[in-house]
Amino acid sequence: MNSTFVSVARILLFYVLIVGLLFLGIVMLARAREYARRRGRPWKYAVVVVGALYLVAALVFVVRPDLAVAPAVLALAGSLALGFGLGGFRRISLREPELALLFVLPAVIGIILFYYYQIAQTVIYSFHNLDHTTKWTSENFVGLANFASVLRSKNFLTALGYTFYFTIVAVFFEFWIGLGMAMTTFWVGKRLTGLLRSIIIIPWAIPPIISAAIWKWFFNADVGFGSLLVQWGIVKQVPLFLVDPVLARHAVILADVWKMSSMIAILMIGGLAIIPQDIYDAAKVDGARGFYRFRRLTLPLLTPTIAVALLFRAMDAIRTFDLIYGLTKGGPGVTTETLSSFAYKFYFSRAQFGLGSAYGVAVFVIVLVLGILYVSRIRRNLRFKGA
Amino acid sequence: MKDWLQRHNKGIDRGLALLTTIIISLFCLIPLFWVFSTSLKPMGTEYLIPIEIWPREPTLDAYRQVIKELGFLTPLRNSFIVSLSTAVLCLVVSSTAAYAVARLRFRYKIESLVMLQLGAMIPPVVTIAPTFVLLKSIGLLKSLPAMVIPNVFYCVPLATWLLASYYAELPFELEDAAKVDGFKPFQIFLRVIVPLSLPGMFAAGMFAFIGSYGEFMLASVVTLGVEDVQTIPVAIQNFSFAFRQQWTWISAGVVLALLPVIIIVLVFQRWVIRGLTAGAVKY
Repeated sequence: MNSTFVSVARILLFYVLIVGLLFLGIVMLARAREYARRRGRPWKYAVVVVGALYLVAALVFVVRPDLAVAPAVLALAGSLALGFGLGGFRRISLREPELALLFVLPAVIGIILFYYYQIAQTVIYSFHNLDHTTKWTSENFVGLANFASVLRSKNFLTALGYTFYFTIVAVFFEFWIGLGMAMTTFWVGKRLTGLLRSIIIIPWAIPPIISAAIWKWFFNADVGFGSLLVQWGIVKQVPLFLVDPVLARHAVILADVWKMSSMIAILMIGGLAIIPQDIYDAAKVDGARGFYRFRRLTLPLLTPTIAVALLFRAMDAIRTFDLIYGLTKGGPGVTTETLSSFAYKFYFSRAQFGLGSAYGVAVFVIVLVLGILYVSRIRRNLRFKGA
Repeated sequence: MKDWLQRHNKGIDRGLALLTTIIISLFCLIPLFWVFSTSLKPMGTEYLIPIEIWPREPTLDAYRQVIKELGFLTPLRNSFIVSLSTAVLCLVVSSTAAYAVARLRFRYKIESLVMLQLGAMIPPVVTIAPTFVLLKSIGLLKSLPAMVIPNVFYCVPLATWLLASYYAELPFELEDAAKVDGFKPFQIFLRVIVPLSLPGMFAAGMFAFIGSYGEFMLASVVTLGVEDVQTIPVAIQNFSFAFRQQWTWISAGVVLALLPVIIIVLVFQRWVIRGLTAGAVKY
């Protein structure tokens, strides 16, 4: 416990130090650039060189963290020297952009460290033949061999196929059920709306691994839903939801639909809420109703929300891991294995970090395509007032 | 018939509304009900055939055993520590970032937001291996902070966006007035913006809480099988592996694990919807 405390304190100190130093360096460099503009060529080049040093330090950090200290210190010293050298030692209070930098830096550094830096590491791993120690050297460098063996393996194709099948089928049903639920909450009248929304949100809030446990019990071969169907005389034989390959694939999808329809419903509620009521009133006067109103009014007005919600959900479905790990562990055989669950298996059951990383990179590439689509869709919303 | 329909139009509408509400509720709640009813059965009777939908003699034995003999309160406590500290730290980091993005003038505003949002899309399975190695090299494995620190940054993108869209709705005269009153920039944030955005902070904090409460992949890797630092998802997963047949126990564990989440959702339903909506779709 004590040693944990010490290391946490050390990490915190390190984090604050990095944020502080980086902030100082960037601010001084930005000021130096301003001064250099008046001083002419050589100073301008000096600023560019120091700026490049930051980049070098960042790049070296990805490959060899211990070697990155020197360029980082140089860059910092360079910016301080340039800043003070060109601007003198006048005390200047922080300007607004500098304050903003100080405010975003903690978040940005954390995100870089825990997302972007990690991806670079995973990509490096995927070029090496590694066990759990992940000491990569030039000796266990294997180039593209990991990717080749991934692409050649039959399991990869099965997993890829199921990942896409799962995503498409699950998101399709989630969309219609979610949209239906969302529209219902507007239609049932004031008193029921709150209750209904609370109930709809519950599946969404349940931790995925716990919902997997719930469904495992629900699909139990001896006394689960299947035997209940037999008891009621609906089917003759107990369907083996998690043993039969075809049923298992769809059982997983059903469990996902149950949980994630709520998610779509929540997004749709938000989308429906901002459709102005007078449009509906006008349509009512014109005599449009029922299904026609839904097709010609609600659906077109909701299209932006739908696009974003579908992309958001698809990205989420492609990386599904918890549900499968908890419900079927990829079985029977490898029939319900997704790319994510395969990657996890290679990492932590077989301790083959190189191969696992190759699977991870495959997931990443797929998600990246969707992610870029998503960001270009929502980019408009990123512009806040006063920008 | 037509007359009757017209006369009872309102009643029929209300009846239909009630019916759909019931159908949707059944869809959402049946699996939960199933687990709940199992958790109340005496041990062993969960395998009786014909299946009892509701136990004939409901007991709390399973809960007692799960808490006393299996020490289920430890993962509950751990989960609360992890999720609460994650939520608080995440709010500290993201509220300042959101303030800068929503209300301060600087050049790379959109770039930094896009960077955060793209980061949030990266699947955990892509980053888990290096994160594990990183945490190992700092010597944090088998401890709760190992879950808190990465979780904070897993929650930052969404929280930043929620808060930024909340801040953007506050009137911009606030800053001007505060400046006239002689507030320094940092004081404006701390004394004016933060108190006014408490509901938004609360919603964002709740998302961080729910997100980190359910986080499984990292937690399962980091605990390395040490029971003292298990969080709820890891404990449930290990339960359902170790006591494969004792479903009264597993069910009781599941119900205990879900209680906090369900209470939070029921109490803060309105904020959840508002928050999630602002986070993902806002025009």
